[in-house]
Amino acid sequence: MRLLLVEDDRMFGEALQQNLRLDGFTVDWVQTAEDAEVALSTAEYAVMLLDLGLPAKSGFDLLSEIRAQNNPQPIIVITARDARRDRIRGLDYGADDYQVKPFDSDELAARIRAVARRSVGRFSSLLAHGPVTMRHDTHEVTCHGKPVTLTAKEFAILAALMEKPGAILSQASLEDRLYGWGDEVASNAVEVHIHNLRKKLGKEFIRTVRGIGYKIGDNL
Amino acid sequence: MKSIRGLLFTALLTGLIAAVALTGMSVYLRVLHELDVVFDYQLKEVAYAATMAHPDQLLLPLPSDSASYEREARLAVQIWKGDQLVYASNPKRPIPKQRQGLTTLYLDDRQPVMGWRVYTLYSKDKMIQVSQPLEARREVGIGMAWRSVRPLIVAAGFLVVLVLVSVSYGLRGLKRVASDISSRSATSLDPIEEAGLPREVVPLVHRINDLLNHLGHAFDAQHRFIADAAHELRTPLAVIQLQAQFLERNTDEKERAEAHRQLKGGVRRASHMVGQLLALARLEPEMGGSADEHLSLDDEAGEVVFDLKPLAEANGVNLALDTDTAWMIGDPEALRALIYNLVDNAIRYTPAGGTVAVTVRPSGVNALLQVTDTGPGIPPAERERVFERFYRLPGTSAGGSGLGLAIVKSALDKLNGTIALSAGEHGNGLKVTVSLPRAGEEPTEAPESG
Repeated sequence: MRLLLVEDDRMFGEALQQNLRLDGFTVDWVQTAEDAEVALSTAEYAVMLLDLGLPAKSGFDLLSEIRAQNNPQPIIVITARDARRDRIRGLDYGADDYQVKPFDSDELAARIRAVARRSVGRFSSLLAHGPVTMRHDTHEVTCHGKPVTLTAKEFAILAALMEKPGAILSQASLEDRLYGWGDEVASNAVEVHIHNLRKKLGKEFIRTVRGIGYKIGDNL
Repeated sequence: MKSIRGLLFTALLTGLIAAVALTGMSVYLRVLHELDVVFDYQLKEVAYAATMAHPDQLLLPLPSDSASYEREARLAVQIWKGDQLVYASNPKRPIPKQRQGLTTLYLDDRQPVMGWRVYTLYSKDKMIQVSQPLEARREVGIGMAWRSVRPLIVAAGFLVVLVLVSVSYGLRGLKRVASDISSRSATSLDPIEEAGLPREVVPLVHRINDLLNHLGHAFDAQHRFIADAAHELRTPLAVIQLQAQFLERNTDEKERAEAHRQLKGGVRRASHMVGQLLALARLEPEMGGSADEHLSLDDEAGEVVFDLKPLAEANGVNLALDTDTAWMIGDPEALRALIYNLVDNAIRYTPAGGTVAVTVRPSGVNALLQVTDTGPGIPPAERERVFERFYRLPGTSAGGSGLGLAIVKSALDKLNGTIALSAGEHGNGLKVTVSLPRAGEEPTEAPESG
């Protein structure tokens, strides 16, 4: 799952990025509202983490601008402002959730998953299709009831495909979800991950649609 | 405590009593003089009347006896023929024979008050003598004086009541102010309503409102400071929490070592923030406790440079010191905080290979401290705002507290100094010029002779 972190404090941004990566998220980090606008226009993010106390243009301004454009981008506000008035204002401005500093990174990860889930209209962390089940919270995957071990990238690709069974996802769109800025991406990286997934879950589970991309198999 | 009402009551009563007494006395004295004339005339009239009356008639009570005025006059008539007293209207009044005319007579030396006024008239064969006790005259005088003073006393009573009532009415404003103040909570600093108060009370309430206003500003500043401080401490604490968590979750030894280093940095930053907050709080004017000591600006600058040498070396910054002797009077802690934060800031914002120069020069009535660096400088538009608490220049995230220059400003206020920010040499970097009032050299103790 790819996240956009908008945070001007260097140390905080670094520490949060490290923790979220450990949770299997791909995190792009910008330090100003202006950079966040550029990032939002170039890539698709499952959730945006927004600090309110940004220099120059504030997080509130960015938040209300995004909502004014009818952009449904899931947004979690992260801030040191704990006054009830600020929390209410943040939510009323269109934030999906609110996290006050300091916080536990596990809690933030759970909030990110919850917001991401709701944004695609799901209600549970459990995804199931055919013989395969996967849990977003524990990263457990089973096939025919037996546990399967996946790497973080494999998990991310599987999650993307299983979230919309039947939808075809292009290689570029999968790459976009998997890799943040600055990540080295080999040209055949997605193909390699798909190959490994088929080995673990069976050849028929993921189908290739020639010239377009990949989708979950229909008759399983 | 003195009561305004009590004071007024006493003053008014004393004044009124004095007025009544004076009026009564002056009426009495004047009336007494006039009464003498009137009564003397009456004495003569009675005496003449007696000469014309038949002696038998005189045995009858005097016709005027029934009249109260006459009774008060207490006249007595004696008639002699030759040496024999033939008639006395009041036998209990043995006035001896006097010579012709008006006489004032004191029969009893021991009682000089008990005097008599006597008119003696020789007429052919008779001698008629009419007498009146002086006491009677005084009594009439006192009666008249009393009657003239009585309405005054009644008026004075009314006056006292009227004044006391109106004072109470006037003091209602004060009572309202008092109940206004006593009914409010300890934190309410709203001004007291000034409308409808007596003019004499308005200045007092006005002063109180000024004080409340002043206190309100101080409280607001304090609240803002605490809110800001709490807010600013959250981020360093959040960093530490995330770093600690990362260290706990990560199993990669190499990454753990790096995380450990970062955690130390996070803790250092949080403690720096706390230290700066405390420094700023100590410099608050409300904290008081300013010591006025004789200080050597060059020595203090030298010490700060010595302390910050390791930081400069760690950052690869060349730290230069050039001082002349300059004395000043002020709070040593404030001066140290001032110099330390200026030099510390300069070192932090100067890239490796740069130079930070500290100079001290006496200049007229001032002592000048200059800190010049080769860092990015501060744009002219930002040179006011950088002194605000927690204001950081956009684009700088050196992990500073955002308090350094706020501390500098508070210290300057305490030391009565001024500060000017300008571009450094060739328009690069930042030149900070601090101007402090200069003092004479510290009086060194004279060497003991002998």
